[in-house]
Amino acid sequence: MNEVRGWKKQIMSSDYGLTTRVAAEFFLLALVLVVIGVLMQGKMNALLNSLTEQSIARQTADFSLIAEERFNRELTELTQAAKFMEKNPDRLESALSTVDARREGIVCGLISKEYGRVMGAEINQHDFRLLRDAFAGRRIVDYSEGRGLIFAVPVFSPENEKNVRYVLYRLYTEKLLPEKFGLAEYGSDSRILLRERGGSVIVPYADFGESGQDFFRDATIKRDFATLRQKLQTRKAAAVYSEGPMGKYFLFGADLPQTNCSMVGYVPWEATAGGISRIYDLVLMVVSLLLALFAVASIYLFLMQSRAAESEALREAKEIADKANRAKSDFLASMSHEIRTPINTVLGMNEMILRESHEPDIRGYARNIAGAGHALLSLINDILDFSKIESGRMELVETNYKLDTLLSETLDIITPRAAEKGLEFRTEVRSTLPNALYGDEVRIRQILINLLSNAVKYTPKGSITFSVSGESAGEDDLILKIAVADTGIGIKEEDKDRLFRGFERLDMVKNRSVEGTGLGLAITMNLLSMMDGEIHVDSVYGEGSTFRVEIPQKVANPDSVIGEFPLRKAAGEPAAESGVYRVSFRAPDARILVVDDNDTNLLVVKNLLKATEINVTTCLSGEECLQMIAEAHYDIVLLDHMMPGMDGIETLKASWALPGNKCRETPFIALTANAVSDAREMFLGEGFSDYMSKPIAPEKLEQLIRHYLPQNLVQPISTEPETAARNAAPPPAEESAPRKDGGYIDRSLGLRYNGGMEDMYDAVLSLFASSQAEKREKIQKAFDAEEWRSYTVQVHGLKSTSLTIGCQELSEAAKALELAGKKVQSPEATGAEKEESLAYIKEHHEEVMALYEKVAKEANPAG
Amino acid sequence: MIKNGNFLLVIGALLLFAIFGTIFMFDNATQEDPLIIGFMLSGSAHDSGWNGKHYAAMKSVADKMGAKLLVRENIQENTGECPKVIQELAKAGAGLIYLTSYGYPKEAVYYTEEYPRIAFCTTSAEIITRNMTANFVRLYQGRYLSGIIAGLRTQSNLIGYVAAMGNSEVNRGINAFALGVQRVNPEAKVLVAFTGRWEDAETEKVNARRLIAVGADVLTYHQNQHAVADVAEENGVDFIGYHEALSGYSPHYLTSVVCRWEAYYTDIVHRYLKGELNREPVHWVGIEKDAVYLTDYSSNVTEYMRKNVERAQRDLEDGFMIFSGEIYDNQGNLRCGRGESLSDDILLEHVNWLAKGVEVLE
Repeated sequence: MNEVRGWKKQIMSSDYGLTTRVAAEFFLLALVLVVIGVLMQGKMNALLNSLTEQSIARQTADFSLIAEERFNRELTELTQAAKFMEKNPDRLESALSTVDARREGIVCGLISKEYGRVMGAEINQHDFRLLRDAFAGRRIVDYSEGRGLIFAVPVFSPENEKNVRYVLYRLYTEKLLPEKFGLAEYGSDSRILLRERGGSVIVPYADFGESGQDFFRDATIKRDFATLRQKLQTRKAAAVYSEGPMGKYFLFGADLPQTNCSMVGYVPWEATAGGISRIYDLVLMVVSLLLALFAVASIYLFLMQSRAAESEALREAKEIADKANRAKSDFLASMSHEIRTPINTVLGMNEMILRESHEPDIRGYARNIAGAGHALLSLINDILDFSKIESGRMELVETNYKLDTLLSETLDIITPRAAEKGLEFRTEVRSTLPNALYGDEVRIRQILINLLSNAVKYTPKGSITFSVSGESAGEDDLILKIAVADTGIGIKEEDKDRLFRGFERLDMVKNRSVEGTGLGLAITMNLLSMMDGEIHVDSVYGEGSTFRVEIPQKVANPDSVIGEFPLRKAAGEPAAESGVYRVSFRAPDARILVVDDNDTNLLVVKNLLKATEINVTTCLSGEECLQMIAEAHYDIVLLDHMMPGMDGIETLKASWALPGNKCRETPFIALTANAVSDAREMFLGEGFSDYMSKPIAPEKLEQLIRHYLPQNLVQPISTEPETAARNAAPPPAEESAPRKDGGYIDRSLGLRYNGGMEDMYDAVLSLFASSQAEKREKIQKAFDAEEWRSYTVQVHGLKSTSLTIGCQELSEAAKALELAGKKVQSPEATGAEKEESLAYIKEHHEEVMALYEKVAKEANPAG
Repeated sequence: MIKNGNFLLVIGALLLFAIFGTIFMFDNATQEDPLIIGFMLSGSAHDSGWNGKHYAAMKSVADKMGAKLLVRENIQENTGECPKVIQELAKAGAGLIYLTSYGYPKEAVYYTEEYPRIAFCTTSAEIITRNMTANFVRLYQGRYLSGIIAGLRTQSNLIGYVAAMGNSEVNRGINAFALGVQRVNPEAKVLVAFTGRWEDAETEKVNARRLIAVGADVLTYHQNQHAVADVAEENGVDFIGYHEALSGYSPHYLTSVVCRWEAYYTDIVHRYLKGELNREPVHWVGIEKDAVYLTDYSSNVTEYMRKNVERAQRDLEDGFMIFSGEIYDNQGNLRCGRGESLSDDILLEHVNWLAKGVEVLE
């Protein structure tokens, strides 16, 4: 949990830095975008201008065609006159007069190369350089600054038609040019004028004046016209974007072919590209909006990211919590083992007292021990069940069962308790109920016992009514209805909700004398919900409660009917309660094999079965067991689960494949101290006939043995105290003083673990001593071979046996080694952890072995 | 996470790079079609004569204009190769095809209709179509100027002229030369020896010696090679070179009449780009566009001679026409009346006469 909190703190503390960073990143991004935007604007303007230049150039080319056409008209007119002159050399004058406009500013004439003026106006041939081409037989248009624009065509010689005799010309003086050749009308926004190629203005636009002169004199304009000129060298027409003190313009021009003239002009940028620049505005607007959209999306993604990180943190927290929970379960499991082992001994030994003692006082104490011990056991079982349910490891195991057996077993447990408190106990079982059912008998019994023992617990006086009925829910289905009504303290209305919660006990103050974990109802409810059952409570505070349970069950045999369920005694027989233990049967011909690596356990089983006169054979390992079942037949095999070498399950499986197995039909019953996992389900699934949890309950053991023994071997005996007494072992004869300890063994502790029986303790001690060399060798072997699994199992054994003999030091040392050994094998441990554990084992192994040897020496009664 | 972040940063940087790249690399205007010029030669592009000179000039112009030049060498006339090459060049995207050899136009005429968008350019005025026109250099202007030097230089008033054959081009040169001589020395005569071949060193040498033998003290020639120059040098006779600047000669090598082909091709390509190339059937470039010039003078060319040449050149640039005014041929026929001038048409195709003052050495 602390880790989780730490995590959250980290997130919170990094928030401020993160925000700054995000802001900085956004700023950087915005900066980049602005730079890109500016570059884009420049690029787009350049692009638009360049496209406009192209389109203007094309328009200019078209305009130039018009100007050219104008010129051609002039030339054609002159050519016609020239042709006339060639054909009519004597009528030159009249031909000339047809082209003479007779207007101020327009002159025409006929000139000869050699003599100059022939008729008409006088001109200086040297003013017009292209006239030479006219004399070489071509039509020309030529401009001369200050003189004007001349159109000239050759007049060929009548005799030699390829010789040029004259040139016929028409000259427009400059003043007249705008009027005759002005191009202003063609462009609305533009200004167009004719210009000598690269030179002076020929035909200015209409309002070409001082401002026009200034325009063309501007340095930028001049420079850009030079660029235009450059372009025109290889283009028919061209345009150039110009931006300077005069403003933004497109300059354009085209050379008129076969003349020395260009048509040039300019148009304000606004007039042409102004409209196009709206595209730029559109793009700018849309891109800005896109950027905003992008920003919003980024923020959204950022938020989503943070949320994901948060849920990641939660997930991790949950994982940690789950881990903790698992650790709790594991802890409970191991605790159960640790607690059950001493209880095993306590209850076992106590049972011996009950069987063998005739002292009423001692028997009274022993009964109290038994009561407290069983209470402790059921407490642990409740906790284990609950942890199982919590971790989802609880599973139902359904089998065929007899309802009457289930009920009578339950009542056998409850009725004595009710009688003890002086309560009236009524049982009502509907006689028409089917008897053979299919379901989880064990869990149903648990539910019933829970409800009934609660009723007993919380009812100070009065009665308890236990009724069982049913309702058919189809051919093979039955809803079993059970009601437990008491006249107890009842439940307050507001407490009903808390009733089924784990670890909750109502009215803590009032009921503090009532023992229990408070888990009973929670377990009951969980079991019911697993079985699709229901539970209802009716209660009046102070008057009593009724718990009704409905459990759907399958009917195994509809023909079997429970019949009249035998009415039990409302109160148990006091004689039976206080009676000395009496064995219920004898089976002197029966042979049982008990397999356990722990000698103490073997001793306990042997002692518990002493009265039945059954031949009990023991052995210490799976391998030994296989040998023995091959050699002789046993009626039952009790097989411990956790053993070094082959474990119980492996041994069972090996026995199936064992040639010459004399115990093929023999029931194998598993013994285990690991009650927390799904022991029962697991062992039945693995092929065991049944299973017994340690500590071994004497009645259960007897019951189980009687159940699985062939019936012809069982001799039921009438219960006579004498018989029991006869069968019981003689009480400890000597009251010898506690042997002096060598320092390692705490004799009183050892005695405690051995039920205070000196002879038993001594037997255990000598067994410990005599087996030491062999066991130590085994441990050493596993250590040398680095078989850590085997090693761990062995030291586990050492841990419990050394505690049984009363040597806590060795037990703890062995426990430390066991833990380290478990770590080494654990798949969850990290490499470092493994190494550390390994190092621990290697460091302490010798020391523990030495201790073991010393303790064994001390334990040896001979020594 | 960190790895992811780095990955995104790299992508971002690449994108940024791509954005800037796109902005800077994006072309301002729709790309103008690249100029592709097809150039067909009858010989090798790298010979030392006519083909090599033209190729070098065209190559330098194309390089300057950034045009792609597709050269096809050794395309013989009347072998059917010329049409194939035209098709090939058209496929390769040529917009202008220059046919260097005189005989190509006849073979190309069909394809000018096939490819109306291609401008064809020739050196022959015989066949003109809507998109195939001729381009000439007024080389005769150079002949005229060199005639002035010869006229002033000659002591014997007999100037030798070795010429290949009497076609319009050769005659035009001879007549211009003679008119140049007569401008400064009306007494001098030009004696022409025809070899009948464009390239035959022996015949040329024989004729040069013959001209020297009859007293010619200045020689010039209209041949592909300069065998005549060698003979003149050997005999210590002054000479004027033709179509190339010669080197390794004594001051007897007065000057050389040379075409500046770069000017010629520049004019052609510029006019093609302006869409003016095929507007007139025949186009001339001359001294006004620097297409013709005289190479450096030798020390035998006096200041006086140079001044005379300069004046004539200025006149030409000023509009003076060589073939204007009264011109008689050497048979006494009036070829150009007083006040008249000969049209380019005549100069191109119809100079089948030699001017007064020109005699042929039989």
